[in-house]
Amino acid sequence: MTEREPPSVLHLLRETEDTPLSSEAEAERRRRVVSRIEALRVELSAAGSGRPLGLVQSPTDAKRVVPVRWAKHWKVTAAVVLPLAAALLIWVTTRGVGSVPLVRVEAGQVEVESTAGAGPLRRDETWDRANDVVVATRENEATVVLPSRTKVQFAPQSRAGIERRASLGVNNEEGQVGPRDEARDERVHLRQGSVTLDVPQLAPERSFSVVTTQAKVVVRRALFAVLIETSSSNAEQTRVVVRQGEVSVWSGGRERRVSAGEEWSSQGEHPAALRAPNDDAPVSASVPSGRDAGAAPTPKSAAVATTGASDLARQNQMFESAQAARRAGQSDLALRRFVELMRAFPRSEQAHNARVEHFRLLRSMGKYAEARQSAQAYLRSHPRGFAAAEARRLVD
Amino acid sequence: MTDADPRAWSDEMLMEALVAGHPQAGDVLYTRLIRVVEWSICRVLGRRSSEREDLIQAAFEQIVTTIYRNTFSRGCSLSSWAAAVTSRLALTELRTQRRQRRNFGQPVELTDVPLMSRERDVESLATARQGLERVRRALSEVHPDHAEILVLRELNELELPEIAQVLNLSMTATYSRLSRGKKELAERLAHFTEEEP
Repeated sequence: MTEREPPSVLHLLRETEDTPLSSEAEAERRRRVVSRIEALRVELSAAGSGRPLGLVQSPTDAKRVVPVRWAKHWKVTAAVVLPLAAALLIWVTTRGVGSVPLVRVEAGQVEVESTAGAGPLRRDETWDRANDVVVATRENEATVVLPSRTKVQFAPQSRAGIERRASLGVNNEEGQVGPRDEARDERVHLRQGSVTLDVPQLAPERSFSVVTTQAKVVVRRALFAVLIETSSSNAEQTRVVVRQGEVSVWSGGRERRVSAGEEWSSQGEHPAALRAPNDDAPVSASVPSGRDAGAAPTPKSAAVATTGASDLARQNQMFESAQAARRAGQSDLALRRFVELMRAFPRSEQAHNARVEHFRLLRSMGKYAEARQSAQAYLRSHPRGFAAAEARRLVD
Repeated sequence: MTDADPRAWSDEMLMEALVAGHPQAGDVLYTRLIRVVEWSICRVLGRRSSEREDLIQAAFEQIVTTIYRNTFSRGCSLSSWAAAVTSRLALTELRTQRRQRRNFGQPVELTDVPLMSRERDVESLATARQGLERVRRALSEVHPDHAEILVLRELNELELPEIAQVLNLSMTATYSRLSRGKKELAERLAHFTEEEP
């Protein structure tokens, strides 16, 4: 290959076609970026950084920043900087990769592989020897906890890489962009099987995502499942089922929001793939029940059930109306409405939520005996539901 | 300055307005630079992705910070500066993605890179995609300083004197890095061709 060839090869990249954003998405991005600019401006003003920092003007490459004032007092500077650098080095080398383990097994057993070694990891054991690791289950289920306190429940025969990485951002005095000093991004690279994730509310600067070959699911706070399935034509596809909160699914260069009660499938990769789960279907054939252990279907057994949007809308309406009554201080009315919802759609997601709100409301009304009964009913129907610990505390 | 239409502000006026906290400065900066920022990322990384949105925000963060801290090279235009900042970010992300693939063995959201290809049949598109992936992989393995100049010259089409200005390099050093970058890229590509049967 001659020296003239690379430019023509790079020319290929110039022809990469861009997918235009919708006007709504463009407006949203403008709002987000402009508000970030404004926030940053305020931060910089507050830090008093508007004045020159004793640097020779114009180093775009921060490596070329030339200290002017400090250079005159190099002995003093060295006396201050060297001990600090030594202390930093000691701290970095002794604290391990992160102060919180990358993976902690909460239930079951997993097999881990990483550049730092491989082996089984049992309950309460942790792994923190690298910033990424591959976690796999065999015939069992397992739950691991990540540094963000996200719980990842693995279905049998599942395999996923877990990665912790520093996000890019302005990270030093010179405004140089690079990895921040703290790992803020967590990613689960699902390669086989399915995982159910319970992501707590993340701080604004943190991010969490699940990546498959077909999609990337970005989340701030949600309870959802991601499944890799094999279609009848043997093609691999990704399915995302959201039980609580909302996620963004990026696939085919587009973003789609998937909210509680909805699901998305990569099959066809179009918005029509959004479907609502069949809330009245038998549990084994319905969507993963998220915090219900073992509910995440295995790749081949997971049946995709659908239901009429009207049912789902009705459930949402009933739940919202009960919540509205509760907010308005009409506690008895709210209790009646929660009960109506549980009777009308006993196996639905909203019935799950309604049961939780029911015992919480009774407790807040001081009706402890009834609250305990309601909590017991909840534990019977959802022994490992998202509010099981809370219900147990009430029962005990 | 405040009497002038913000859209007609020069780069210098815009920077002053930004530092002074003019209410429209952020919006004008976004309008002026979003295309160059977006294209700089698109050319290096390809299709739209969630990373891309993060990178756009990070690029604006750095642009504002350097303007505010007076470390921006005022010898070049704001758009050239934005191209340089964004290209560096995009190259860093490209290298991160390469590491990710090495560790996890799978592409991320890159299953169907659309091209302005005249050939729209599946086979031609697949070949074109493979070609693009190979070029990106090679670019991610080129020395960062050399890759940066290659991107600014060949993708952002900046002139050498402007690149030298933006990167605060001499013309000789700029040309030398460009030549070495081209050579390195050619070697990487040749190496990939040898690897593939």
